[in-house]
Amino acid sequence: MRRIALLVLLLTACERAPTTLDVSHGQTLVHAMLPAGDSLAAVLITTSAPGPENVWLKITEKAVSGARVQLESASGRVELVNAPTDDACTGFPPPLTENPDLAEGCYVGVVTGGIQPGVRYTLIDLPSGRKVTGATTVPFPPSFIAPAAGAQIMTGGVQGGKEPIHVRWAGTDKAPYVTLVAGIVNEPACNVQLRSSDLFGLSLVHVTPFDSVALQSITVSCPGQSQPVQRAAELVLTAYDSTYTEYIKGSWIGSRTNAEASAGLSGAWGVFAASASARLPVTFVPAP
Amino acid sequence: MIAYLFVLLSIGAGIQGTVRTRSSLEPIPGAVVTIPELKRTVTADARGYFVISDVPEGRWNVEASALGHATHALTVVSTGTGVIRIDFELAVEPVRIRDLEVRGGQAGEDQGGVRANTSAGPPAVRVDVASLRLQPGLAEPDVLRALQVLPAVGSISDLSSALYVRGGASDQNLITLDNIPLFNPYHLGGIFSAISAGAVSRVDVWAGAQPARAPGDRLSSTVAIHSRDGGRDQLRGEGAIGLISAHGVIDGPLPGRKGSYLLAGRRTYIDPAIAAANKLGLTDFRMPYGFSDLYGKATHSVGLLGTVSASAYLNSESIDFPESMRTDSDGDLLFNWGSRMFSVGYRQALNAYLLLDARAGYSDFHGSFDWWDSDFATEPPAKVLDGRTLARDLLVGVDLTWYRPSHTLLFGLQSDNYLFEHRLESDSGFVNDSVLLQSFNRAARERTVAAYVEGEFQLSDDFDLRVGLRHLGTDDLGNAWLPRAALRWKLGDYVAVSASAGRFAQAIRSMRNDESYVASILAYDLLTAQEKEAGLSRGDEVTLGAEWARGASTIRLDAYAKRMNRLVLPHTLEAPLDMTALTIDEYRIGTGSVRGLELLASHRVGETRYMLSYALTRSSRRVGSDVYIPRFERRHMLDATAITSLGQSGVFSTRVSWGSGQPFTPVETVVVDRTFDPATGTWRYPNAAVIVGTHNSDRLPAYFRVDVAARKQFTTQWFGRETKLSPYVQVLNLFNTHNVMFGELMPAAEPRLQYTPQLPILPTFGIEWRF
Repeated sequence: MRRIALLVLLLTACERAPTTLDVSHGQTLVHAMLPAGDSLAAVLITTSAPGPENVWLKITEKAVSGARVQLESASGRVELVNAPTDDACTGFPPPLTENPDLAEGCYVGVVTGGIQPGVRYTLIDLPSGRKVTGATTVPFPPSFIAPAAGAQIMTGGVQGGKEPIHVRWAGTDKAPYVTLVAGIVNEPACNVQLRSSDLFGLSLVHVTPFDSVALQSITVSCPGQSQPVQRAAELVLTAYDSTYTEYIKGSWIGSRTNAEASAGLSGAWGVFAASASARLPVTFVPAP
Repeated sequence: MIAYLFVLLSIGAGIQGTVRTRSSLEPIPGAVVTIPELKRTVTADARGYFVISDVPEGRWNVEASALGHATHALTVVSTGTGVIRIDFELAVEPVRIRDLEVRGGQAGEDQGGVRANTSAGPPAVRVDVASLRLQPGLAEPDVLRALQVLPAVGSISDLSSALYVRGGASDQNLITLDNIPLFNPYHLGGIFSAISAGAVSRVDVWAGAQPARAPGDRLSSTVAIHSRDGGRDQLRGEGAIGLISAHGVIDGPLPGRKGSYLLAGRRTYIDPAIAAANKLGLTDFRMPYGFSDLYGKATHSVGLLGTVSASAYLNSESIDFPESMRTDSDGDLLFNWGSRMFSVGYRQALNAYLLLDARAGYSDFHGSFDWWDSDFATEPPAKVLDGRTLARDLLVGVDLTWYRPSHTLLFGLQSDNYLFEHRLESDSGFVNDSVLLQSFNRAARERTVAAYVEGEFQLSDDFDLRVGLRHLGTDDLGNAWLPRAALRWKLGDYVAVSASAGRFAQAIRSMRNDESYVASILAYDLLTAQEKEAGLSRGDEVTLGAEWARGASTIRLDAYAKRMNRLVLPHTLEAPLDMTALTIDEYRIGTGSVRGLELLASHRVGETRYMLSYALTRSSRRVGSDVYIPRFERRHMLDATAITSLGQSGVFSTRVSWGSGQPFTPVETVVVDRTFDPATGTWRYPNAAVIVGTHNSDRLPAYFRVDVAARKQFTTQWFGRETKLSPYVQVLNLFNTHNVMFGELMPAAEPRLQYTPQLPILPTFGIEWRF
């Protein structure tokens, strides 16, 4: 009996009742990215809510409709309207484990002359009488130096003595966070992975603060297609503002601080940020 | 009780000599020598040497006493000139129940008959090996863990022997062995200290209030471990075997009996035993881990009062995958690490009042960490991890002590040449993609030269003053003048008050990040030079103390305040599991402040000794706009120990520890989190983000642990010699309290904070023998 008691004691020593966290549902969430040159600005406003048992993390989102959302810059003020059916609102996918109609919380407005680099935009958002403000300054777009537009780039990896693909660019000196990605034109479901021996990243390569990268391999995988084929693609080099930099920094580790989780915002979690991209059309050619 | 009287021709009048154990002639450090009629009291130094200056003409009684020894008194006749030499040999008088000794602090007289010496300022705490053995511990007597019972000394977790003193980090403590620094004297990640208790005579802990002569420059403490010399009369030996390791110590006279030697070794025995069984085909398993440590020392007399000594210390650990593990894990792993120390020392009384103490030494911590990835069937091994570490100190130093009638002057000089080389390279994403650890390569050299002068003045029978000035010079980090002062004032027969103030500087730092959870598991400091941008880190400390001692009771209370600046701190603050294990090239320079109150009390009733230790600590670090409490701090820590006799030859001890929870970063909420995909201009499918609050702004659950130990001694005959056998049993964490090491955020299913426990109930047993 004593042995059993001792064994039980030893086993229970490895456990301490966990403390269930108060998730504090009902938090207001705002997500917005203003890409330089776009004429349409879209903002998603949601609240977190308790989820059913089978929902990961037991949280879900509910759209917030009926808010008054305004985007303001030196050149004027734009009223964003609740436009659940607008194409811009499809850019906010819901969590995989739930399927609420988040588009009800999407607000869209046309920015006359497009979103301008160097301009500071502020968000004034009044959902349910609660004041949420945000601010961001749009960065200037970078430009590619190499490879040349339309270049044929061999995919499938460069192992076996092949030369790496050198990508060079300019205009990111002042950007706090810069990424390089590749996409297949008109085939958003395809996944392109870029590998560099020097830098982190697969589908998205973090290239701050460099002005070039040697890609060791590019691999393309498209759903339902096992044979590699030649595809029209583009390299996308994106510079982000400081608020998105703060926001994304928190996702590199397991948890975020208050500042990281409400980057550029006051009164809500999420991010109100801006970006500027350069797009380089290329052709991906499968390696023989 | 033999006394040798020599009258030497020399300047001045006084008594000079040594206090040793009868028969073995081992020096008794800290023995107290008094002339009651003259109210003169001095304390013997680390080698039992003492001087009583300015003894007037007359007939005087001179007494020598030491804990665990019989007091001896004799009468001398002084002519007022010349020097009388007395070598005391005190008979061993075993004390079954003994406790920690607060050196220099007792206002009265304690149960053991050891009278206070007169030393200014708050006293050092001395722990001798006999008291170590009586503390309930982990598997076997542990020199460093035993210090954690002191109010000034804390730990970051049950798994770490690293010391955290008065709100300072572990790299702010200097641990010396034979006056030479020891780097990372730990085994098994820090669970055990790697110093064989059988080789140690005593440990002195200067927590704050370090005098100018303290043998190192650290902001928080000096822990000086003094080894035994060994007996000069006959061969002696002792050994023990516990659950983890076996150790043995032998000592005896050198030829001619003018000196002695001591050899101590310890080794895990499970790994070689399983390896032997493996060779015999009894098992296909092999233990991949083992540790060992070895200490050797030789001491020889030179002249009338001089000695020359040499010692060496080696500790090593390794993880070496056997064949079966290579196959199972598709890889091979070979980690070797450890520390080494070599020293030579020379002491000589240049005349009746001038003592020279010189030393030279080498100390290092080294390691190689190699990991190969391969399935060993279809592909050749590829090295995926290549790590090397070296922290080295080559030093030479000299101290001069000049004994004057009412004061003692001390001078010293020490040069340390440090070399640090650390490298971690990885060809796989294992390291580079890890939040905790990144590849790095760092090398640094630094040379420091420290010089000091210090005076200890007995201004009256009741008032002692110590004033010193230390200078620390470096190659690249600047210089620092470090004034120190302390006083002690006896208010009657039972009460004394003391005060001390000092400035401290430090030229080296650990790259280990104490805010990372790794610090709770691994005690090893990865030392390097302080950042040039920061210069020497500095600290200022003030301590006020009061002590009361009467009969069998003592109480000591200290209040202190400390501030530190130019500290190299982590560049970001995250939850412990998200923080990088090392602070290397990315760092911030900040400050720290600590205030605290410490109580140490003891009381004896018959054969039972009670000890109570309490510490209140309020510490903080400030860097940029961040102000936080360091993760190792416990606001309140209470420790109660009781040691009592168990029959005629047994001892039972129990220790109860209670502490407030350590700081942790609370979770504020969990929200849906999105990242932007620039290729499609859309947001990716959302994730969950755990939002944490202000760094270390909340506390983990409180800490509570009860340890018990019992031992009994039997006497028998082995090979014609009397041998004492002491079986012991210890139970750590008797009530299996689920103490928390850290809280882990679990953002899955139901969001929760999962606690990672410290040590569970851990019964251990073993047997010691001595002949």
